[in-house]
Amino acid sequence: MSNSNTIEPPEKHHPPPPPSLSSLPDDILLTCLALVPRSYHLSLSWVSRKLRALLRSPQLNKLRSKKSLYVCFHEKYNDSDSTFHWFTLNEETKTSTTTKEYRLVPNPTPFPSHKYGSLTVAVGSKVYFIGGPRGEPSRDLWILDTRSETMTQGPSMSVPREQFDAAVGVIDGKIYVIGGEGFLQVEVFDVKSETWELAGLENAGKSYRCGASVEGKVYIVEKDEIHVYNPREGEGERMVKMVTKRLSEGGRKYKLNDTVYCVCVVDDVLFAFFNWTGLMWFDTKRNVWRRLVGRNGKRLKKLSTFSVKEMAEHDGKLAVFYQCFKTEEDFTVSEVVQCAIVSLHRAGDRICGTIDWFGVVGTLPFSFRFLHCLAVSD
Amino acid sequence: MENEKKMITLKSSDDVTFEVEEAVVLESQFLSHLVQDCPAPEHKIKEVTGKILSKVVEYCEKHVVVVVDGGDSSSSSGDDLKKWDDKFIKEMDLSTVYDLIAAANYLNIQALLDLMCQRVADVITACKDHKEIRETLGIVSDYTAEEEAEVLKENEWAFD
Repeated sequence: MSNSNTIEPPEKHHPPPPPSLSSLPDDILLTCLALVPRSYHLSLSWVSRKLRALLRSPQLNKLRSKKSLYVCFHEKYNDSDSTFHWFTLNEETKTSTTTKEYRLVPNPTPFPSHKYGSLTVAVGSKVYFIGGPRGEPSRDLWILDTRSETMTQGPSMSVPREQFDAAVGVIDGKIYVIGGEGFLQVEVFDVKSETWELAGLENAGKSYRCGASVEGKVYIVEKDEIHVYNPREGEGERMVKMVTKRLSEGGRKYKLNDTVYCVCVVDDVLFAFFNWTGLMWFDTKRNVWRRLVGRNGKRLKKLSTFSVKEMAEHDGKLAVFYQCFKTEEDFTVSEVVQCAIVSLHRAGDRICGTIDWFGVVGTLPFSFRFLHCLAVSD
Repeated sequence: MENEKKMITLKSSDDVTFEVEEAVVLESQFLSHLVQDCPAPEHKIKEVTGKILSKVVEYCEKHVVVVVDGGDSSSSSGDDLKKWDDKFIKEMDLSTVYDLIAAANYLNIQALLDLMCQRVADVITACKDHKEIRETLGIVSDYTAEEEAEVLKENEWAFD
């Protein structure tokens, strides 16, 4: 089949120029750039003027796969009566100043109701509600299709689970549910075939408040330890326990003894908001938490840890939500939701952040409580 | 029983020939139009070398087989295909990647083009800093020395 090596092209005498990315047409370059996480854009823009121009072109934004940030609030009147309110985080560019403004806008068609509280995860344009609320373990799976705005019941799990006693993570289109009801059973839901599969027993931790998946593993973040579940290992060896450590400015590791509020993943990096230490990211090479600092190496002062409620990815950036209360002139109390939009920049083995925007995204009735915060594909 | 599968011969710019099933050719929008419009047994593709065409054929053959055999779209065949794709791109040097991008673009094979663009993106994200991106991807900076110095000054935090 191969007889190509017999004819030498005449150019061979001059060494051909080294292969260069610049030889590709702009539209293909843009396709490649759209696949690079946003946190690499800053160092990419230093490579050449041409790349900087492409990174700033509006076409690039159109090529990036878009996700919307859904925030669900729960309004509870009594034990049997409650309603759910879904919002999306909207980005508006003010024509006069070209600065961006963010607002929570109610979802035009309300999604069908689901049980209060459950393990919740978004895969593509669908949201999966797994198990029951605290104190009400359940085998149920409900699937919300945000495109058709329908809620359907999926197949049941083999083990009942409740919120906070199991962790969920998504790896290659499969939802890994770890822990539950006195069991250490791992169950896997394939979103394509919509089937559950048992994935063996693992030696797991005490509580499972925060779980998320990065680099093909599920990280379960607790107060003083992290459990890492790697589905590619053999049964019984998939779970690895680590003591929670942080890296000091001087490069030394020491134990981090702090409560975690919430975790989220942006571009395959795990972020967590800790009670005292604030916003940290997990360095999977050194297995340590590192503080997210500004580009000057200093602390991001605006990101106070006080009243942080939720955190999620928004368009390759980090959206941190705060909740506080305000007494109006007529003495009614309303709930003010604030949000910080943080850009992330990678340089070498570091990640730095800049606060792009900070402000009020909505004023809501006092009775609304944060329930879910999910990045869902459009 | 089905008749014997229709075979088509593709000839590269440097006259390397590949005999493939028609289904393989249909993975490329460009080639499927070519085969329909001109039913010759052999098609010369002047823009693609034998080395690159062999990769294109390898990719298309693999992807055709999976679609036909795994008719029930079982997830394991999807997983296997993903593993195969990962191996396929990992073994490739960047100059082959660039040539394959050009070929996939010309022949209009979207899945292969997407895969190759992902490989470029992965190479970029694996780089430590902008200098390494330049070296690895063969990009010559068109910044002036002053601009370069300014960039470095602005971003001292990034360089220990």
